[in-house]
This record gives sequence, C-alpha cells and structure tokens, in this order.
Amino acid sequence: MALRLVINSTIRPAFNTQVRNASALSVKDVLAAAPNAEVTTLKNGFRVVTEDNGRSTATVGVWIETGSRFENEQNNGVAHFLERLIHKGTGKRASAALESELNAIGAKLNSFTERDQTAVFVQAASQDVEKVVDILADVLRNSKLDASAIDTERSAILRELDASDDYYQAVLFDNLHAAAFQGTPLAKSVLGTTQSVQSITAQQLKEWQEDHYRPVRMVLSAVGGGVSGVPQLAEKYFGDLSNEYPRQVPAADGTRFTGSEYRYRNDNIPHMYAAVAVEGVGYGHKDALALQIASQFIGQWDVTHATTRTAASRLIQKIGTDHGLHNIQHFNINYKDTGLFGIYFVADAHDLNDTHGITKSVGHEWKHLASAATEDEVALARNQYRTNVYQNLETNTQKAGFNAKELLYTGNVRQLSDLEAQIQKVDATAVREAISRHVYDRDIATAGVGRTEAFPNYSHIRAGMSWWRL
Amino acid sequence: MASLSRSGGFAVKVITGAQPHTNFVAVSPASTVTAAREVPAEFTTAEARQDAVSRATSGVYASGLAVKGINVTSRRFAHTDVSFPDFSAYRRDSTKNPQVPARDTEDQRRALSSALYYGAGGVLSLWAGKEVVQTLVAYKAMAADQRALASIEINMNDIPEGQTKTYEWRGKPVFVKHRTKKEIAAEKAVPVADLRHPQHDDERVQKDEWSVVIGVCTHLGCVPIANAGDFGGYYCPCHGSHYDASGRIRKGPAPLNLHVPAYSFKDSTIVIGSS
Repeated sequence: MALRLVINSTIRPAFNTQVRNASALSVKDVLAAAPNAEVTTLKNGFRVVTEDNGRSTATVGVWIETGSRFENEQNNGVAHFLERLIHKGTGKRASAALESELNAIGAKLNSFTERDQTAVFVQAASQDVEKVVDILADVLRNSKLDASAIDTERSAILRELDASDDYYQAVLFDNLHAAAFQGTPLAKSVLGTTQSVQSITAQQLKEWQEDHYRPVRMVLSAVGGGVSGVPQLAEKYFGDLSNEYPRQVPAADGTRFTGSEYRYRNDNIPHMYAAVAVEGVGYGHKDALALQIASQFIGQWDVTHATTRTAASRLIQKIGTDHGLHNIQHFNINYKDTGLFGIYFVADAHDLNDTHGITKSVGHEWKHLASAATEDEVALARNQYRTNVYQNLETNTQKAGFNAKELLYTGNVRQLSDLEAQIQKVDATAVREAISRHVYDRDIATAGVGRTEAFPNYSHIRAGMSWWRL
Repeated sequence: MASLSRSGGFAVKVITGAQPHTNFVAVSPASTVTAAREVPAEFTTAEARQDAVSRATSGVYASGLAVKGINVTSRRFAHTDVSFPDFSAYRRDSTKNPQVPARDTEDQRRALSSALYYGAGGVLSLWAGKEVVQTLVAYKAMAADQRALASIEINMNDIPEGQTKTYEWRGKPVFVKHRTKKEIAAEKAVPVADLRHPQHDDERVQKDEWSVVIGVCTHLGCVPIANAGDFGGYYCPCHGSHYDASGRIRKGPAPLNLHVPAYSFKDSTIVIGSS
C-alpha cells in the first residue's frame, strides 16, 4: 500500500509527463519544422522544385506532361516507347557508357509512364547531384533513338504487352478506362496495341519528343541533400530549351465519362476481378481531399488480414467474412481534370448472391457517406489517411514525385503543413457534400475480368447509387 | 499442341439411382485418330494451323465426340487490342463530343426524368396537399347543422304590420318586429339622455319599419316576451325588465339594450347573419 502510494505520488506523474511530452508533438508542429519545397521558374518556363532535407541521398528527376492521353489510334504507346528508349543511350553517351557512368556513382535511373505523365528520375548520393542533372538533361534532350535500339525495345514491349494479360488487375483497370472514357484519349492504355507498337517509327518517336519534351510541360523535382543548387544547374542544362512547337501544341481537352460496362469473361482465371467506379475529380479539385478521405473510410482489405470483424472499416466488418471475397480496395485516381473513384475487388463469384452482396454493401456505404457520415467516422478516416499520406512521402523519391505532381497539375506546390491544415478542415460536412456531388446517384462504369458469369447486374448497381429513383 | 475434348450428344439427367459414368471420355492420342486432312508442312496461315490440330472423329473411344483442336500456335490478342465498340449511334447528341465532360450535359440528359419526377411528382403532391388541407378544414370547420343555420332568410311578407315574430338563429331567438307608424314616431321621439343605455333608434334599425333584435335579456339571459311590457316592446318575465319597440332597456334590472344582430335586406327578405 505504501509502495503504491509512492508510485502514485512520485514515479507515475514523472512518467506521465514524459510520455505526454513525447506524444504531444502534433503533426502540425513537426511539419512546421520540415523543409519547404521551393519553386523556381526559368526564363523559358521550365519549372524547378527543390526541397533540401539535408539527407545523404537525393532524388532528382523530370516529370513531363505527356502520356497515352495525348496519343491516337496510330501512335498509341509512343509515350511509353520513348520513355523506354531514354535508357538506351544518347548522342554523347552510348547505352553502355550511360550505364557505366551511372554505376560509377552508384546511381539508379528509373522511369515510368502513366496516362498523363512520364517521369524520369535518378536516385543518387547527394554529392553527385550535378552529374545527375547533366545525365537527365542528356537523356531527355539527346536520346539517340537508333534503329537497332528501337527494334530491340519494340520486341521487348510486345513481349511485355503479351505478359501484361496475366496481370489481371492491370487488365481490369485498362478495361475500366476503356469503358469509362470510351471515345476519348484517356481510354487508351499506356502500353499501346500490338499493331500500334509494331508500326511506331523512329520518326514518330522523334516527333513525339519534339512535341512533348518542351520546357513548359516539364518539371524538375529534386528532393534530398545538396539539392539547393539545382535551380542553377537547371538553368545551365535546360535553360536553352526552346518552347517552339514544330507541329501543333498537344492538348488534353475535357474528357467525357460514360456510364458503361466492360466484361472480359475467362473461366480459366480462378477469380472474378471487378471494379465499379464513378467519375472522380481532377487532382486540384476542391473536393479531391474529401474524396480521398472518403476512399480511406471504406479502406482496403484482403484475406491475409487478421482483422475482419474488428476491421477499422464498417464495410469490411460487414462483408469481409462472407461473399467469397479475397481482396477489396477502394481507389481514388486523380488525373489533371478528371478521375475515377470506386471500388476494386477480387472474389470467388460463385453466384449472384455473393457478388450482389458485395456491390450492394459498397453502394450502401457510399450512400451512408453521402447522407449520414458522422464526425467520429470522418475523424477516424482522416487519421488513417494522415498516417498513409505522410508514410507515402517519407522517401526522397516519393516526395519528389509528390512535388512534381503538385506543380504539374495545380501550378504550385503545397507544403506539407498546408496539406495538414487542409486535412484538418475536412469534416463530416465536407465529406458528405463531396460524396453527394460526385458519387450519390451518379453513373457508374464497371469492369470485370475472369469468372464474370456472376458479375453484378449493371442496373442493379446503378439503382443502388441513390436511396430511391424514379 | 493441345486439344480440347467436348462431350457432344450427352444430356444425361438421372433423378435417382446410379448414374453411368459415360458422359466424359478422354481422347487418347491413339493410332485410330488420324489427321482430318493432309497437314501442310509449314503453318503459315491460320487455316493451316487449324488443320494441324483438327482430328477425325471416328474410332471406338472417340465416337460421338466432336473434337476440335485449339490452335495454340496462334498468338492471342493482347487486352489492348480489343477495341471498345463505338456507341456513338446510340448516344444523345449532347454527349457525342468526347471533349465535353459528362457533368456539363447532365441537365439535358436528365431533363426527361427530372420533368417526370418533378412534373408528375409535383402534380401528385399538390393533389395530395389539397386533399390534406381539405380534409383538415372540413374536419375542424363548423358542424354541418350549425353551418346550415349560419344565416337565415325571413320573408317580410310573413310579418304583418304591428306583429313580432320569433326565429331561431345560431341557437338563439331573434325577434323581428314590423313596426307601425305610431311606434316608429314614439321611438324616434325618445330623448337619448334619459336612457340607461343611450342609443338612438336610428342606430338600431336599418329601415324604420323593421326592428331586428336578439331575444336574450341582457340581465341574466332569459327570453323576453314580445309585444308586452310597459313600453310596447318586450318584457322579461324573469326579473321584470321592460324594453321598448326598438329593444332598448327602459325599466327593470337589465343593464343594456337587446343586441342587434348583423342583417341585411334582400328583395322581400331579411337575411340575418350577413351584413
């Protein structure tokens, strides 16, 4: 008893105080001290965003506004093709020389192409930033595009295209875009079609480079140690790039969404892969964050998770153990001016009861978010989203990508402290309004791959998008 | 090369009892299976590839089976090679331009359903609202028997000069007096200052010949007797209040003149209850 008294009176308060201090560092305070991203614009419109965080590594890369949404039937896949050729040597450096030069400084050159952007970036030690900018400028501006490299790459891409059919999720999302954005360039896959990849010529690649790799369409993003001098380096290596377009300026116009369905039934695939989506919003839209948090509210689950009845998401609690569900994931894809907001799931799909059970519950959850989301629920989703988003910005590369995307899509870069303030502002009202505007009683695009015999009926899902309909 | 065997001609359904296991026969690559046609040495065309995997369907085990080989030497399409059909022919004109976001044309596309919803729905709800109001008003309004008595019409020819008749109006007696010239002159001549409740006869009648008053004594609510009392008007037998031919209190305990209801003249009738 006496001992307890002692503990209570002396040790515990001291201990408590310590804990409170450690945990009382709010995200806001931490982010206020975080390094700021600084934007510099060169005379030719080339934008540079740098964030010096004092680390011993750095990621420097160029994000370009290009991609399959600027392509047409004939040259579908050209943006991806060109991005692949960037690794194959330049006028100054042969392919092998480029590789050995990168190897010599222990750097990695990565690149990827999406529907509306291509990224080429190098991860290196902070001391080699200048070298890296030099290499980046070289590969982007002086790609050799020689015939043998093109043919080698062409067959590699065709093989990849063949193999891509085994990535059912990727096929599903390509099909979802093909249906939802039918008749628009956004429907096109980044990979291209067999025919277009076979027919793309060196001339087309060159013209693509001339049309798209223009300073106003490019952003140099550098995050890491020793990147504060990058604006000067950019001036040196990219400052003379001209904004003249030899042909017309590539434009991504407004994009039409069409409520539609695309099923690819193949019973040799063991499961049904399905996606149901409404048209989302563009990256800079005022509802983008609220939808992101709504997406987080519904969450993600697969059979390997230990939680079902105790899951954070009400939806998972409801449908995690029944309906033959293997994996379910809510997504919110933002392009510059439009997006897709919906659910992706993999299920046994033995019968309509199971599949309708899943889509009905998802529809119910959306309607709940539109009309009855409570402050507690939104606070929970907000906290989960906060952890996720900051976790996904921990590395130099992730942060560089974030900064570049912000700059390309919205024209400026949000500091994380601003982002935090915006997250805090998203309350139940904001979520309810955003969902009412963009999800409630909206047309849906659905896609199914695999065992789609029991694919949920389109009108059934559509009718479930609102509480009642005429 | 792979081949796929399909059981053809079998539709066995056994409700009960043993089911013979004959509905699936594996195709064995036996020597009895021969190529359907001469197989060309080079598989340059799709037909040639198909021929190479098609087999004759004769033989003990294969009889009754339709065997069609799957030509695995051909390359299947990549998923991107499947082009999504063009549904432009089915589209409304407003959605034919792929550069116009769906939201911009939504009002047009939903016009019909909105018109139906708000049009038909509006009509129905207006009608329902009318029904509700009507029912409530009918329910809360004056009872039908009372409303029937709300105003009464009195034929003036029924009352000869010098007579008073009593009618019932809203549950109360009403005296209608057809006054004589003499009575009129007498009432007009009464000095107002002498009255307990000073009112000139002109204030109490619309036409001099007709005096209409409610037959309830202002003292304690008895019904006075018409054409009686000291003043030639009304007399209340309860406590002896005397009223004159204009219904004014002249003698006795009542404090006020008899009330004059709202009334009006219409042709040869007096309508009591409407002014």
